[in-house]
Amino acid sequence: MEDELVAMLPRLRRMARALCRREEEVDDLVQGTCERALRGRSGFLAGTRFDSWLFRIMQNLWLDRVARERRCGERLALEEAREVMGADGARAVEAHLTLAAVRRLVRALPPEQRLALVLVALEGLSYREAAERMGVPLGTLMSRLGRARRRLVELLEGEAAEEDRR
Amino acid sequence: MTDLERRLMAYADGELAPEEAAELEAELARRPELARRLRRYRESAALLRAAFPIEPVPPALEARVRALARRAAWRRRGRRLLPLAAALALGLVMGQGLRWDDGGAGDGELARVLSRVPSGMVGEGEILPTASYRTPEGVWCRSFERATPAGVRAGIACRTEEGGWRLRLWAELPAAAGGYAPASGGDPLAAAASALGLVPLGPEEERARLERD
Repeated sequence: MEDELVAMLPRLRRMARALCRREEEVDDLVQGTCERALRGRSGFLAGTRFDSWLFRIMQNLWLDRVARERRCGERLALEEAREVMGADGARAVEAHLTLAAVRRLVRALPPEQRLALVLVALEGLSYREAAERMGVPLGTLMSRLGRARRRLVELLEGEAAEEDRR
Repeated sequence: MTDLERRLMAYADGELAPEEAAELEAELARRPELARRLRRYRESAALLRAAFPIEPVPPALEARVRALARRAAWRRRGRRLLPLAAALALGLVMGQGLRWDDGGAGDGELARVLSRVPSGMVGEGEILPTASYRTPEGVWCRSFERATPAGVRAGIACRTEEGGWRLRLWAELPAAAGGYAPASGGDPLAAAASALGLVPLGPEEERARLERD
């Protein structure tokens, strides 16, 4: 399994970077995912997709961590989110829309919206697959995804408006 | 989110059924502001992918994952060593394939790994040091496991005054299937080490000895 895991590391890291609020948590989440995969390798069913199996493990591990943060660090998370939003200033988006601003926006999203966005837009799952993966009805998936996407679109529109003024 | 907004997003993601898509396309042709909104949805997906590109993996992360994978592979083999450890603790040292060493030196590869590699990491020659100990006199000893063509060799080696390593005991087990015992983690030779009067060293103490080398 060693080589198969290592081959998946770039995609696992991409997903972790989109899920984690802080950059320093990224490699930790990737490593934790690999540990769980190695411990639970008997849970991998031959003939199913190895990448989906790993992504699912990462998703569950991340959700566990999010839940733990919520229990003991809700206020901290809220303050961080406010800080992030403050940097972008509700609608006063930075003059130059940078990829860094997109990353900040994604990381400031509530976890459920972030996960929906990552599964569909980064991992390329269909709406139905993403809903199954998250264990929610299709409509719930779409409204989570919709709220996240609308934020991104607003960021883009803010940028366009900024350009018009210039 | 309005129904229209929802359909726009689904259309941008290629998730609308053909007849719904045709309906929306007709609406798009009539309303330019909707077409612009659609373009934003498409851009947002592309922007997201650009914001989170596939990047090179830091070598340190890859190394840690490889070490974890090897360790896990070792654990699965190491489980078969547990009954042996129990036998050693009872003093039943004449089991099959088990030897008290008569003083032969370990080979260079083993010595290098035991001198440099922390417990739990796989070193060259697929040698896995599993723990550090000291004798009552303070001599540094280490237990290890090593793959052999026939199966797994597990042993304990102690430091010599010349700075080399001497095998104190080792056992060889065939890589036969079966005999699957639940994992208990740690060092399968811990019981044997205790029978030899060895005292386990913590990670700090082990690090201090490794650095001295």
